[in-house]
Amino acid sequence: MNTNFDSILDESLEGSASGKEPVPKDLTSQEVKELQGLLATAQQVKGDLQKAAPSPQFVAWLEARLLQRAQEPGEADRLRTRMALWPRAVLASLTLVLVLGAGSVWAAQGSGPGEVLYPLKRSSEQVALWVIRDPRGRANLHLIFADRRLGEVERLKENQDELQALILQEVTEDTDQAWTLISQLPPENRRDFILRFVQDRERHQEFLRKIHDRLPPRAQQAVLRALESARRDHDRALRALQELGPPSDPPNNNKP
Amino acid sequence: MEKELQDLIRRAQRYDREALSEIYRAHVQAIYRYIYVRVGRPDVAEDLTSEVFLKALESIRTFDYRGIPVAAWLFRIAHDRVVDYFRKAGREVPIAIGEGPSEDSSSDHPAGLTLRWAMERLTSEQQQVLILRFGEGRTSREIAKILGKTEGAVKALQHRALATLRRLLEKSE
Repeated sequence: MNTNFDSILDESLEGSASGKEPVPKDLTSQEVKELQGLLATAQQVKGDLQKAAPSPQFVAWLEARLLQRAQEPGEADRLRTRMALWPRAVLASLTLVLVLGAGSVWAAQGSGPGEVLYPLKRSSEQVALWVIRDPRGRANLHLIFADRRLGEVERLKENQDELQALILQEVTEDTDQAWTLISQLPPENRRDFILRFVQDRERHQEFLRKIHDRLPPRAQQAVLRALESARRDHDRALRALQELGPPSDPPNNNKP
Repeated sequence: MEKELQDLIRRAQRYDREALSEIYRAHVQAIYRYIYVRVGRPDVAEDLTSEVFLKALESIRTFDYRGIPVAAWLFRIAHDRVVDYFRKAGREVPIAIGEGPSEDSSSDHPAGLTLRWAMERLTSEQQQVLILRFGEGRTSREIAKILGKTEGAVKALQHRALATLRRLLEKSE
């Protein structure tokens, strides 16, 4: 590669960007032709690339999501915390079960944030996640937990807007984790899960729209973020379905 | 300047909101364009751009500024995401001219050859240089600093990229 011509091209590009004469005078006619061709291509590239910009709504949404994610402990920290906490969670659960009877865990499933049995409910969820190692089982659990969190948001009182925002963020987290697990499944197991994911996210959007006006302003912001995430998840899952292609026909046992 | 940059990264590693925003805003356009050029669909480009920045946030604490500039690190993550996207979709990553077995890899181009299709055939580094130059309006000197290369290397990449594009576009006419 002619390093001199690399520099001539670069200076010409700078020149054309600042409105100066882009082609130097001391070039051969062949070099002039080559340079003009490259400058024309550069113009075309510039036009195309400047059109290919992300929408301002997307840029703002992603920034908000990143900052929100940054407020939580990192994945590694979270994992360490879970690892450190699970023996305590199991111990606490077992103690409660012994003291209150086995029905307490069942009873805790209907509890909401701020209620006595709620920590037991959350501990039992962590234990379930710890016990179940199969990705399908884990994805299933995350989808169930996302549904539960949504139900809990509705039960919170008006002055608990901070908690509502936090729990809505957990809905997004659980669905994110479910999606990560689903997208790693073998294609033959993926389709049914994706269909369920699509339906869940449609239902979540409907639910979030319904509760939006009933919640205090601070929680409404969180609802809008959760809605945007649900919409994007839904579109992404639909695309994944398309990419999987049509379902293969079930084997026909009647064939000779 | 160098010290300011180091300080910015250190703050970002502590999840300082302003530092994270500054890094994000400085790079989001270029990363989106880089992905868009490779996948050709705005919806997929948005999804993969989200994944790149969420992944970057997860691993920023272990990012070593002295080893590699932030933009080059983000482009690397973006490249991996794009490859992963093509793999999951069961499609082959387009072979770049100069990376594949021969330039004949361009012979299967679609009837209406577009500039984006031609850009897909550039190497990852060539794409990055063109995006920063023409999408972001950076000079060669700035690009060299952003990508951790010499100015001469950036000029050579720019020349090779434009020459390849011109050749591919001429073929299609």
